Amino acid sequence: MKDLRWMIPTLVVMVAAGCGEQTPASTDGDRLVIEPRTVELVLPWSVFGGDVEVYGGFGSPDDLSRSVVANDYEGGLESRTIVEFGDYPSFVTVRDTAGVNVVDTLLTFTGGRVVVAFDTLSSTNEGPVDLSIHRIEERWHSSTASWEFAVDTIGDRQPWSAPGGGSGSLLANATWDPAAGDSIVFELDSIQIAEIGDTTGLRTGVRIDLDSPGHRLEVRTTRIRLDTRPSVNPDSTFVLTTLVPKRTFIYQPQAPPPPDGIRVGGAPAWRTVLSFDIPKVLNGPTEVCDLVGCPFTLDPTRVNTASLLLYTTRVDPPAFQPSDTVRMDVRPVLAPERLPKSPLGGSFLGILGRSVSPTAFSTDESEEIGIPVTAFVRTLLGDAEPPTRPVALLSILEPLSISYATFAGPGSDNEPRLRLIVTVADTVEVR
Amino acid sequence: MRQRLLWTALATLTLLPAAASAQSVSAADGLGSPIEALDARARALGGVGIGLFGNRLVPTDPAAVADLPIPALTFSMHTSWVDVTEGTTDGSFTGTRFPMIGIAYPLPNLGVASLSFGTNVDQEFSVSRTSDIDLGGSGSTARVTDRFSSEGGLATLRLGFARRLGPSLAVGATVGTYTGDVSRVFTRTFDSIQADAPVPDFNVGGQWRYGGMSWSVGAAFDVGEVARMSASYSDGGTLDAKPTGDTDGGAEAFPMPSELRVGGTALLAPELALTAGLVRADWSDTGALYDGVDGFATTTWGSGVEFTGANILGKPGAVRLGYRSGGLPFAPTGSDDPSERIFSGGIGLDLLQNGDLVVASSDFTLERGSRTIGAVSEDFWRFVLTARVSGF
Repeated sequence: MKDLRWMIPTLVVMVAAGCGEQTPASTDGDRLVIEPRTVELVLPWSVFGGDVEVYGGFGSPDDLSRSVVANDYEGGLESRTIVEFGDYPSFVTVRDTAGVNVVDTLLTFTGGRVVVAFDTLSSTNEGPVDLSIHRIEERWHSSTASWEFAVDTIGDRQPWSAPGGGSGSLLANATWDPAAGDSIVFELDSIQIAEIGDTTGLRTGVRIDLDSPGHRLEVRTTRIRLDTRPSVNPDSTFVLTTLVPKRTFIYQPQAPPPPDGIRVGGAPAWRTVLSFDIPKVLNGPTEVCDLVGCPFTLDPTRVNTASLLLYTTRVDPPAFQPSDTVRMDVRPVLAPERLPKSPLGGSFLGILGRSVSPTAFSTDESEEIGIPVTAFVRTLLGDAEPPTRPVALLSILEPLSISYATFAGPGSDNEPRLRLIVTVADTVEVR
Repeated sequence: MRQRLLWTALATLTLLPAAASAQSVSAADGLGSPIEALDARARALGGVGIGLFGNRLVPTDPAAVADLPIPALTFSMHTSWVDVTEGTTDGSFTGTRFPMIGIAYPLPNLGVASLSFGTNVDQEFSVSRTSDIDLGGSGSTARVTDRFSSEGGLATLRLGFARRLGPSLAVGATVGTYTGDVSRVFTRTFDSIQADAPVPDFNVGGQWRYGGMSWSVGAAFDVGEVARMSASYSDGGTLDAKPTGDTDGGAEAFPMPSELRVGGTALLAPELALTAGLVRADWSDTGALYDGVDGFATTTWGSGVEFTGANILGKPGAVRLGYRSGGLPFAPTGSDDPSERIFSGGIGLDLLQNGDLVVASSDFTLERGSRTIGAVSEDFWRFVLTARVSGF
């Protein structure tokens, strides 16, 4: 058998050569066996869509990480930020005269300041603007507070003593110059600090107003810093900071639901639900029949890609025009009978959504926005009964911004359309 | 030990894929690129595979195994390196195939039974084309790449029996069943298309499994020890291709050609033999099923010389030279008759002997050939190895 061993290297070489297996390849298109035809079909709304409904009220401004102050901005937007500060610190660790660290619970707040930081890029002012803070002297609920109501929960609806956050007393004025920094400081004396931190009363925080008209500012953070004198070592002063458990903003006017358009975003957020009812056999329109011949069966395997085409419109009032990229999402409505509270299915667009430039909503020139819905359309065209036909257009997070996006609705010149790219091919046979 | 070897051999028979032999772009035409279940010795001697001296299991020569004294397992594999020119386009590809494996077992006082697995047709190929297409409607266009790929092949599992009827005459017969499958898929890739998300490929195609029966008979006539004449006739029957799973395409029945094969060997001098033969098959009925492809009646002849007195690396061996020329069965309609020419050379080694019995041997053949099929021309090298182990 020793004589057989020398065959092994030969076998190894041949098998190794086989590992580089390459399929004979031709570039002669005549050998392609079939000649499929790929065409683009654009279906009008009347062929594939129906039942458009716009729903509002999803989420609350206090879900946003930022708030807004505005004064007569772009047609009258008024917005105020309201903040509730947490309990003041009740102790501090101090080194006494003997050099020993002790816990001191007898603190005296000698003064302090409210520090508000802005997003300089998102804020509209380029020069100094005046702001003021006011003590809020009535109870409010951060998730339901609005321009008119301090509390608007089920069974408990309390209007402000005056629209726009009540008629609280003025605490301080200050001017913010973006050239000098991104923050404004409102100095408070010990009495004002004590009033804000009074836990025996309503203790309802402060309201931040923009006093200079024609601007909209975006608030990043709000803090209160307390000048603190301990009892153990009264010559020392500490600056302590409290938590800000509640912050939201209230604004007017509230945009009414659009009568015939499509709206997405805002705070609270708007959603638009529209239903797909794509015929499995097309008998029109003429443009489609001219391309593929009618009747034309829309088999799901023929659909390469499907996009819902929306056309942007100018946002009115302009105060709600987006100032940053709009990120849209599309999700199936799982229980249409429970709208607007229906649960939604997974996103068609992934975690980033479909981004749309804010400039698309500030001009009369419509921009076509394609939203891929291929898998959904294929499901609708399949043999099985689709789990749902309506889809919701919404922002990728709700709410994402006070601004919202608008699109032309059914019946308008730029009504939604469905673009299909389909490939028609003969069956591949064994010969 | 003997039983273990036997079962290993049988298992190998069933597990081998229906792989093809002659890798070629011509696999795109008609039923594919035909191949013959030949061993390295037959390929070195002109590639007709009938009428050679000796006792060998060769599916193309049913009677050749009649005098086999002890059980034998034969296994062949080969590697091809092919350069192809298609119009102004050049390319190359490589592949290894397993054209034949067989086992023969003498039955005392009856004859020799055999079971072999040999390839018939190679159907591995792909065609691709990139083009700009008009999407209609808005007048937009898109760049797409179309690709048609075929994977698979046709093989035959044969049960044979051969018997010597007299000092000069041996006969043999086989009955076979077609096996194998082919997957044919068209894919359109959208390279550039205005869409709001990546466009998945468009695919259409399916898979077909082969079935059907064939049979062959053959005879060998010996003139002492100086000459042998052999002939075989095989009936290809009908090849059934049935779709599997959710394949949309239909079933098909292909008429397979009958094949007449004749050949002989004459001793020119002690240890020097001349062999020649030809094979005739008519593929026109098969080709008639295809659009854009013609089937041809092919005649292939081959000849070679074998010197068996060589001593190679201290082992008794043989040196062989051969030439083969013939037609190919399919070509695009309007093409000239497709043809193939092959020069071959090889050696054989008796690795282990027990008296006059060769217990283990191997053959090596190197072929250099060219083919012309329509606008396609191919030049190739092919290295063939056959190993035979006996006595288990």
